[in-house]
Amino acid sequence: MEDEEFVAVRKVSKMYSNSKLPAVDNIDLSIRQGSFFGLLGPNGAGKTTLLSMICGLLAPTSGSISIGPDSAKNRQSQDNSLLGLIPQELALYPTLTAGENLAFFGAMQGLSGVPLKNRIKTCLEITKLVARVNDKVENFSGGLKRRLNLAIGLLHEPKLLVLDEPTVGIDPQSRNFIFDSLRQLNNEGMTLIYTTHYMEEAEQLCDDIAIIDSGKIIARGTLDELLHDNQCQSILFRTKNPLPSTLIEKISALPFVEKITSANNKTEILIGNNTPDNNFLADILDSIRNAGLDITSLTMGATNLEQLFLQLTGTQLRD
Amino acid sequence: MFNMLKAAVIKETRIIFRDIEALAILFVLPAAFVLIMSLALQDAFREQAGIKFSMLIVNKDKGEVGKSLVDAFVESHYFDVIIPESLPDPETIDRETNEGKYQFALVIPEKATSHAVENSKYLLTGLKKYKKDAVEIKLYVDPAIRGDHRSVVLATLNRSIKEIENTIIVEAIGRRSGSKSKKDDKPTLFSEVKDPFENRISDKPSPTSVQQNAPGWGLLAMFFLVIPLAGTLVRERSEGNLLRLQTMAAPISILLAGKIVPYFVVNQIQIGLILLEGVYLLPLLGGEKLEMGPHPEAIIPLSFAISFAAIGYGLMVAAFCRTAEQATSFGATSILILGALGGIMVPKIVMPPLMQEITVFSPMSWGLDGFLAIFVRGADISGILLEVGVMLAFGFICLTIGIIRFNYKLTHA
Ligand SMILES: Nc1ncnc2c1ncn2[C@@H]1O[C@H](COP(=O)(O)OP(=O)(O)OP(=O)(O)O)[C@@H](O)[C@H]1O
Ligand SMILES: [Mg+2]
Repeated sequence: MEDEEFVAVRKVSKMYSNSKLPAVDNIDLSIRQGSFFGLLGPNGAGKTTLLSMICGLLAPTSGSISIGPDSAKNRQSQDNSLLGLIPQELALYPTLTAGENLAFFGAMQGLSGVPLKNRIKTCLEITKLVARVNDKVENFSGGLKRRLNLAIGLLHEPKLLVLDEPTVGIDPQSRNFIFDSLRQLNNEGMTLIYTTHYMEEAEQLCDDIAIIDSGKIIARGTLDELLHDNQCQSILFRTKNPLPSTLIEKISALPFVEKITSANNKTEILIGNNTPDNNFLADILDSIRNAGLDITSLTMGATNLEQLFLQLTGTQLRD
Repeated sequence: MFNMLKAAVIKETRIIFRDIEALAILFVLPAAFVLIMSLALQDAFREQAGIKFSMLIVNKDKGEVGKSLVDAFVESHYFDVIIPESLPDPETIDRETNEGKYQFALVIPEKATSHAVENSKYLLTGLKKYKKDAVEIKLYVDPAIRGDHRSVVLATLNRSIKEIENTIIVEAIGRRSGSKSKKDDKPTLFSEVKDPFENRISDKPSPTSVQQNAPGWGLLAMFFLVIPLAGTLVRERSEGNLLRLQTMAAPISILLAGKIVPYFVVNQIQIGLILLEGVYLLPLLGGEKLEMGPHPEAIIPLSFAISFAAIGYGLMVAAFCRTAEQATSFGATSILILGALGGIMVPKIVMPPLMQEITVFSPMSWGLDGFLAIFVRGADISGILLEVGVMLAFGFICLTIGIIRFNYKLTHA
């Protein structure tokens, strides 16, 4: 059950009529039922385009997509009741209240009467909006709007929730709150597709991650797999005083150091691939201590997705 | 399906009635325009339709002369004759004409008839005992009256007096020669010269100010629904609401139908309010009452057809605009142009012939023609079928183009 394929994307490409390069380029993707799938990529990578095709909003130029247990069927001919979309834009009516927005979208999902009332109540509870139900959306903060956006997508109890950058422009509290809600939904068995260009979001949330760039999937796996496959490690530490440039030169001369960046008392050292687990940490720490510097904090381990992305594409994820 | 439609209608209705700007554009602006324009252009239209003056006639005479003069002015359609209940003194009359309470006042002195008859006898017999002074009929004139209008009135007055004089003399001669002449078998020497435009009034409607302005600005107001209609729809597309709705169970046509219903109702309220304004409010403010002709029920199919045209146009504009700002500015501009072309701001009857022909390209021109036919020509439903048909066709074409374009945009994102 857990390993059953829920979304199947087969050799899908999408060419927009007014551009030369494909926005999605021959992507093969299989998403398991019950997984929390993260689609990670920079602006313009093709995330929204791929999601739109999965949601049946856009026809692929070539290839086929199917969702649900009946994966033989073509996406276009499947009904949408399995699926809930949380669009990248805040698809809300600002002059309506939260409750009125929910009532409208719920009705458009085919709900009515008592079942609709109950679902509205439940979704308001999930997103902790009960107290704001009668407030107009135009008076909501960014975080509240995002929460309502989420609530609307949950009204018809979809099996698959598709979220396109659902945390853009909100404060950390609201973001954490949304994360908790999503984890909860995933634990209850919902399959989630989550796109973002924030590495740490994918790191925190997703058990299955694909990195997309220029319309292609360039890496795929769990966080551990991704980091392990691309064996890449780093040391990050802070010092009381800045590192003198002589020391920086000395460290970067060490054989296993691939790259060192140091600014504002914060230093990051990238360890080269296939460096045996020898004493490289001790070597580095010794040289810092010999220079008379105090280390105030230190983290060490595999690189995060941010660095992985840099390594894979040679470009920074965020501008 | 019904629940979906109901929800869509409720949602759209809420959006409209919470949009203060839209409400101002849809209701307040046109109401103000109708009021201002109807009052401001009242005199201009009166002249356009033929001059009409108010005239106070103080008839102190008990005989034929007074009666004939009063009849002459009552029968003329250039005058609204006011007969006072009690006889006002000359100072009051002088003051009131000066104030413009009425434009002319005519005072027919006591015993005008008997004096005239006596004088006619003197004329025929030369007997001094019949001699009386010439009867003096006095005319008071509002100083604001244009000179040419004054001349017209004087001419009418003097002609009537001459006629009466002739009648009296002819009768005096008849009495003297003993033959009893009856009024009816008086020989006619000249036939009356007729006003060549008198018969044309029926096919060239010359409306009053409010008959032109109320439906005119009302039409413009109805078409102004393009602004909120296209605005919301474009916003729904650019802000992702449509995308989300496309993944939902309801077909997009439900969403569109949900817009048509409330806007249709808004249109009917608009035209209803404006007609009420013309009929009841305007007279209270010193304007003319809106006369709706003998078949006001014909307004219903006409305003339905106009609403259909306006909504169709709105959906078409929405389908071709990318941003809400575009929809608003293009919508407003195009409606003002269609309005100007349709004879809303400048009535068609004062346009040169070529311009009048161009007006067929504005749906508002057809709508206005429909209203004028009902109000001025007294047309019933069968008399406005052409106008209704053209509006429906216009709406249908716009709707078709709009939906095709809209679907294309949705599938070719
Ligand atoms: N409707 C469209 N017509 C033409 N090109 C488009 C259209 N939508 C997107 N593109 C192009 O396709 C590419 C992928 O866009 P897409 O919106 O899928 O990226 P994204 O990963 O969602 O980016 P973001 O993080 O900014 O949302 C981009 O180069 C974009 O310019
Ligand atoms: Mg996107």
